[in-house]
Formats: sequence, C-alpha cells, structure tokens
Amino acid sequence: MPQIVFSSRSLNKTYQVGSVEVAALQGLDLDIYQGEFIVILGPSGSGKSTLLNILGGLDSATSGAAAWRDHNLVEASDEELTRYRREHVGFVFQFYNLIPSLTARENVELVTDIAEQPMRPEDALAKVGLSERLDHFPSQLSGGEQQRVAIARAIAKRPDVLLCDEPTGALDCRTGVGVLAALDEVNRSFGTTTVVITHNAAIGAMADRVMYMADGRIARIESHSRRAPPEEIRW
Amino acid sequence: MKALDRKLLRDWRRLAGQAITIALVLASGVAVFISSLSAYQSLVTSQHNYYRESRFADAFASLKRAPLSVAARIAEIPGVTQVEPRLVYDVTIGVEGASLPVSGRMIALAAGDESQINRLHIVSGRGLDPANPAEILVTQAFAEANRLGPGDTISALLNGRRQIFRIVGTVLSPEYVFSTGPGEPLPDDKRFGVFYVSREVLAHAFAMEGAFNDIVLIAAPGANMPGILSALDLMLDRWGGMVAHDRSLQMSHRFLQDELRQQGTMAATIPPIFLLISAFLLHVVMGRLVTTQREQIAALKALGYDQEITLHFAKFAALIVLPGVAFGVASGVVLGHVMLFSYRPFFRFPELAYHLPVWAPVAATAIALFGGLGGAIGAVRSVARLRPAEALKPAAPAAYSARFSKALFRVPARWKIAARGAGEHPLRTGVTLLGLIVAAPLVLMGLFWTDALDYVVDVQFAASERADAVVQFVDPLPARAVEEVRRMPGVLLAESLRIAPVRLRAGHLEYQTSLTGLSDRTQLRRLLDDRLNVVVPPKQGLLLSRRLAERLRLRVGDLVGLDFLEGRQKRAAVPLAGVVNDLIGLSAYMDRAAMDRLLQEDQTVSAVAVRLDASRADDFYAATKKTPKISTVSLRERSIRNFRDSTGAVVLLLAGIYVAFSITIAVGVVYNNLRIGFQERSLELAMLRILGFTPYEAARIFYSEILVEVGAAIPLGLVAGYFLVRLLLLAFQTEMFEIPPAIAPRSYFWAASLVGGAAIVSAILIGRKLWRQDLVTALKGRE
Repeated sequence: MPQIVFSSRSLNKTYQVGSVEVAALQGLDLDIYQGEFIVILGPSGSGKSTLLNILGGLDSATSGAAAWRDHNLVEASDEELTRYRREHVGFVFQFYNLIPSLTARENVELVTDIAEQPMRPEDALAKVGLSERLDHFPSQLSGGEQQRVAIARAIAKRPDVLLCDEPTGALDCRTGVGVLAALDEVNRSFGTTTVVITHNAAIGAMADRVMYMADGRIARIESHSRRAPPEEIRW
Repeated sequence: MKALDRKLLRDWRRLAGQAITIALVLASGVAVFISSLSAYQSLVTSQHNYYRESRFADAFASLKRAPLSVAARIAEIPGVTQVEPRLVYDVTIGVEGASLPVSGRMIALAAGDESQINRLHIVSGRGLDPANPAEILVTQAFAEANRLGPGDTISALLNGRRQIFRIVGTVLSPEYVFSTGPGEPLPDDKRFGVFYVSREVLAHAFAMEGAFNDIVLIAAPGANMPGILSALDLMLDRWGGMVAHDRSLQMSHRFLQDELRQQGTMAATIPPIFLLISAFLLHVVMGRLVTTQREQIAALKALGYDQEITLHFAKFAALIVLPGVAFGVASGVVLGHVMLFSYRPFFRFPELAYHLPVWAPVAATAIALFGGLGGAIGAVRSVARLRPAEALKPAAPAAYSARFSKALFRVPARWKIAARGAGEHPLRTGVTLLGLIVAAPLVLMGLFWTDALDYVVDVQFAASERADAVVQFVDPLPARAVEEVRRMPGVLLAESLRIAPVRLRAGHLEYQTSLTGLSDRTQLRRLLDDRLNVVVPPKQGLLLSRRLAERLRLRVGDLVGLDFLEGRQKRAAVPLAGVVNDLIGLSAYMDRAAMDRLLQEDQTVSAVAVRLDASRADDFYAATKKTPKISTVSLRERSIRNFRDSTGAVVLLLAGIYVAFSITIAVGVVYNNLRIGFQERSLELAMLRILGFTPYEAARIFYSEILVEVGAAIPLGLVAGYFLVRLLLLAFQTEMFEIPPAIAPRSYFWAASLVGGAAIVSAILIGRKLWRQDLVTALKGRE
C-alpha cells in the first residue's frame, strides 16, 4: 500500500468578500497517495483552486487539518510555507507565468539556483521535449511550448508534488495533449505525485483517481484501473 | 451616481498614496512657476509705478559749476520737458558710534521748492523746513543700517568744515533704490547714504550761490535721447561737464535692472523647467497607471463602453491634476507674497504691490492638464485599440532577443532579469530612467548657487582684490600721498593705484567705466585669467574684463578709443592687449607707467591699496576719518558681506525655494517611478514567491532592477545637471557680475544622495508591499 502524502480532515476555508462570507471549503476530507496522478474536476466555485492553493502552501485554511507528510499546512508560518513550496512543490498555472526577460533555460535555472538537488535545466527541458528551444525567450515560444517550459521549471527541482491549475486551459486540444503527455511522463518516470485541477472532464481519463468537487467538498471519487495515455484524449 | 463614476472614486481612494504624491509633484511645479513669475512681475510693476509716480529722471549730468541761467537754456533743448539743477557733493559723514568710515552724497535742490523730478517719498518724519538749515533727510536704507531716525543727529564734513544736522525724516528716492558709494561695485547701506539738505547749506559751504553742479531732466515720450545727451554735453562742456548719460548708466537703475533681469531670468528659466518636468512625469505616471488597468478597460469595452472609457480616464486624470493645480496655484500665490515680502530690504520701493499675471495660472493649468490628460488618454487609446478578447487575456510576454545572452551567460538570473529588463524595454526603461534622471539636475539647479557665490568670493576677494582696504582720494595727489597712508596706524603694506573714469569706444559701441593703472610690483590687486593664473598688464595696451571686451565686440589687437573723463579729458587710442577674468564689474586695466604717459603725469595717486594689521584696523579707520583728502575707504570684508547681502541674498532666497521644491519633486518622481515599476512587475514577483523564493530573494530581484535603474540614473542625472546649469547660466550673465558654473563636489554629492536616499526610502516602502503581497490575489488578478 503506497504511503499517504497529503491528508486533510474537516478542512474549512471561508473568504470575506465585502460583507459576505463565502465558504470555499466546507469540512473537506482527502487522502492522496505517493506517486498518484489525481485529476480534480468541478464547476467554478466548487473549491478546486482553494484546495490547490492550500495544498501548495499559497493560502492557509480557516480551520481543520491539512498536512503534507509531517508538515502541518494549517498552522505553518509564512516562512515555513515558503520553505515547503521551495523544497517540495512544483506549480503549473493556466497562464504559464514565465519571466519574459529570461530564456527557457534561464527560467528553469531560476528554480534550480535555489533548489537543493535540482536536475540540470537542460535535462528538465528535454523531459518536456524542448531540447531544441533552450535559448528562446517566452515571446518566441508558442503557448504549448511556454506551458512545457513552466512544467520543466516546476519539475527541475525534483518536487515531491506537482500541482497544476488548468494547465491546458489556454491551449487548443493538440497542443494541450502535448502538455498532458509531459505531465504524464514526469509522473511516471519520477513518481512525482501530481494533482491537476480542471474543468475539462476528458482529462480525467489519464488519472489514477478523479475527484469530483461540489460546494467545497469532494462529492465523489472515481478510481481507474487503467490510465489512458494522453494521446487518446480529445476535447 | 453612475457605476463608472463610483469606480472612479474608488480607484482614486485605492491609489490615494500615489495620486497624492503625483498631485504634490505637480503642485510643486505649479507653485514655483506661479510664485516666481508673480513675484518678478510684482517687482517690475512696482518699479514701473514708482518711476512714474516719482518722476524718475531720464537724463543726468554733472559738472564743475554753471550759473543757473544755463539750466534755463538746457530746458529749451528740443524734447526736454523739465529740468532740475542741483548741488551734489560726496562728503564724509560722522555717525555717532560708527567705527567704520562713512561717506555720503549730499543733494540740495537748486530752487527752494519741492522737487518735481526724482520726488522723494517720506517714510518717516516730515520734509525739510526750507527756513531751517540744520535739518536733513536721509535715505531709509542708511537710516535702518545705522539705526537712525527722525530726531537723531549726524555730522558732515562740508568743504573742510564740520557741520551738525538733525534728521527730520527718512526718505526713498527713485535715484537711489540702490545707493552705491563712489568706486564701489555694490551697495553698502551702512557705509554710504544719500542726504537731502536745503540749498542754502550746500550753496554756502561750497560757495555755489546762483550756480549748480548737477542737473537732471525729464524728456518727452519718444524724444531723441542721444540728441538730448549730445546737446547737453555741448552746453556743459565749458562748465566742466562730465559726460551726460541716460538711465542706462545711472548706478541705481543699472543695478536694479541687473537684479530684476536676474530675477526675471531665474523666473523664466527654472520654474518652467520644474513645471514641464512635473507635467512630463504626470504624463508618464498617468500612462502607466492606466496601462495597469488593461483588463478593466477590455472588460468595459466588452460590455459595450467606448468613448465613455476615455472620458472615464480623463476624469481620473483630472481628479489628480486639478486638485494638484489648485493647490499649486494657491500655495504659489502665498509663496509669491512671501517672496515679495522678503524682497523688501533689497528693493526699496514705496510700495511692493503683489501682481499675479492672469496668464500664469492659465498656462500652468493648461500645461498640467495637457500632461495629465495626454498621458491618460494616450494609454487608453493604445489599450482600446486591442480587441476586447485580446485585451482580456494577459498581455503577451514582452519580446526579448538573445542579444545579451552570451555576455550574460554566467551572470545570476536576477541580474539577467535586471539587465534585460533595462536593455530590452527601451521605452519603459527610458521613461523610468528619464524620470529618475531629471531629479538630480533639479536639485543641482537649486544647490549650485551657493557654490557659485562662494567661488566668486574666493576668486574675486581672495585671489584678485587682496587689499584689506582701498583708500580713495577726493582728487588725484602726488606720489608722496602713498607715504602718508603708509604711516597711518595699522598699515602693513600700502601700494599706490591710479584709477580714472574713462569712456571706452569701439566703433559705435561705448562703455563708461574706470581704468586702473597697475605696476608689475602691485601685490594687492591682481588680475587673473580664465584659469586663474596671474596676468600682469603689458607695457603697451589695455586689458579688459572679458565680458567688457565681448560687449564692445573687441578682439585682442583691436584699437580701443580711450577718453579720460576727468582732469584735462585726454583722448587716446590703445590696442587691446588681452582679457582678464573679472567676476564682478566691468573694468579696464593698464600698465601704470603707460597710463602715466597717457595722462602726462608722474606717479600721481588716486587711491591706495592697503594691507592692515587686523588688531589695529579701528585706529586706521579713525585716522582716515581725520584726513579730509580721503573721500572713501572701501573694505574688503565689507565688500564680501555686501556681495553676500545684496545679490547673494536675493539669489539664495530664490535658490532656497528651488531646493525645497526640487527635493519634493525628486522624491515624488523617484517614489512614483519605483512604485509603478513594482506594479508592473507584481505578477512576476508573486510568481517567484510561488516558486518558493523567499520575500527576501524576490525583493533582491526587484531591487536589482531598481539598482540598475537608479545606478544608471544618478551619474546621468549629474551630468545632465552640469549641462543644465551651464545652459542656465548663459541666460544669467549680467553686466555687474557673472555666475561661473562652479558646482562644488559637495553639491553633486548631495544631489546624488538625495536621489539615492529617495530611492532607498521608496524601496523600503515598496518592499513592505512586497513582503505583504497576497499570492492568491496576485494570481487571481491575472487569471
């Protein structure tokens, strides 16, 4: 039985929006195992992004428990969260968020410079199929390529967990599949626990488990005995 | 209220810190503009009114002695509407308790009636009682400097006889707004005053009954002034007339015009620069503020808004610009009053009435609105050109080329970001740099005046005029007079000087000044060239102050017409042998022996330069007072103080104001530039934090960029400042003195420190935002 890396119990997060309190997470319980590829699906406002932010140490919960291995993510200080992100987490966002003034290689170096046992930036970029585009600036890359640089940047520090927020949201199907293939490859070859949140139900097919979120809770979990290869996915 | 207007108010509140600093920068620019211009205009208007109301003379002439009937004939010269013959004598004055020698000009009107030309304005006390010869009026400046008033008494040495007078009133005269003693380049109110007595007093003392030795006249508007002057010269020639002159050579008027011109130049050059720079900053800042709202503009466009968006941002700009302008105009008017009030001791007009030219606030508002609205609308246009869908997406990553990649290969990523950020965003970098660069010259423009004045004092009074005192005789004396001065108490060294009033002629140009004869042994008066090397007058030819040579359009080797204006009024033509670097005054110099030959004199002395034993200076002054042959004693220490108190004080008053505003603007500029820089990079910085950078590491990247920008801007700013000061000074040459572009290292240091300091404080303020940056919000802002 693989180890549990993430777990949460009765996790609550409320936001104050003007005078209204919005409950983004309402008593959420969750376990994620080492090396799993998880896809979280759900409509807007279901709490997907909030959950991802808490798992990634970008935000903290209002109450309840959430832990990555022995790191308590609810009561951690800003410094502890920064260290947690730095040592264990890789992020991939919908809009890539590369530094425009750095080349692909340098964007990856930005992370390897502060990581303890990083990959060589060239290797990370090779992993996502960008060996030929090392010295290109973001403005010289297509959207799919930029997203693959973002993935390389995320994996280069050998994170324990890769958190992806709509990684294909800004891409067409063919380009998106290329990005998914990169994520799949990273997950399989390094055993990096990977969590992808998306609106796109089709992506669920490549996951070990698909979690459906609604109203701040996990409504339903679907386990797959076979993960579909990314090339089979269409939307 | 429409939703869009509510957004307007909320945006303003959200950006209040920035809005207020921008408004303050603008207000500073406007306030300097309004205050300088209005103070200057007020001075000019007051001078104009005073001259008109007091009927300031148009022409002036002095002579040895002429019967009053000559005055009646002068009144018949075509174009002359009124004449006033007078008696004018320079005398030694005794003021109780004064240790320094005091001299005065005594004026008595030829007719017993009240004067119709150069009318006196009585400040305190009353006018003269013609029946009482012991009454005297004294100029207010002298009275104040010597703490005298109606009821006090003074004595005067009239033709060798001491006479006591009772002061009955203090007065102002248009003829002596600045009263400069004979042979002095600058006014010294403590040591020189102008006095008015009834005619009988002077007529009796100098045996001038039925005669006059000075005449002033008023000409009809548009009269042929050169014609009047030459007619005067012709008529007065046989009465020992010195050359008649118009207002342009009248000492007080000349000095006043110089001071006004200087104020005018300062008001016409520096404040517009301030205003234009603040309008430019406004332009830049508004543009960048609008650009940060790119998505909102796109969203509004998607909703179907169009012209309203432009209007909305125009209103936003107006909301910053108009309060800034209003505040600037209001404080400019207050400051203008304050400046005018501080001018009071320097510009002695009966009334200094504040006058704000209407066009000044109108121009200031127009320039400010143009800058603010222009920046905002330009930015709205460029965003609005995009299709909504495109604008709603985050802006595409800015394009970079690999131009610097090789050079930067081994450089840490943060420096790459900084260097490429600077090199590949020429517009953004240029705008930021320009914003940061203008800060330093502004500060330098204010600071350097002190340096310039120090330099003038150093060069003129320490290196060039090295005598502690210069004694002037009433009339030139034989060579042995030097020996008499040498024997006076406290005199360590005495050197004879020959100083004679001359008129220089070059083609149709001419100039009246004094010619000083120096020998190669003279130590107490040295001439310097532009590099401050000592120049000895050559055996042949004339040396002129550089500005005088330029004024007469003379080149070395050209012949200069030389008319002596005293004694036998000899004429000669002498070649120009060279120029010297006089910072104060325009003078002519010549070898002593050559001058003696021209004047057919043998070692005649008109003045003696003296080095004094400081501890016995008072004894020396006392001795000079007892010597009737001495007309004036000018003291170096007093000259320095007078220079600092007159021109120096007025210049520094303005400069102080400029420094205060330049600091406000510099700080506002630096803060806003860095603040907007932060705004533009906030997503990038949030991203770094998400990647696991500590706030410290993220700040290092941001600060590296600031460091690159500020590091480049400061030296560029100092260089720009140097050239701006030079450019400014081209407009500042006045006849009486020139301001050298001598910026002291400490001023560069302060200007650099101020910009650097403002950057550090801004960086700290912004750094707090960086530390507190909410990562989720930063991401949401974009996604």
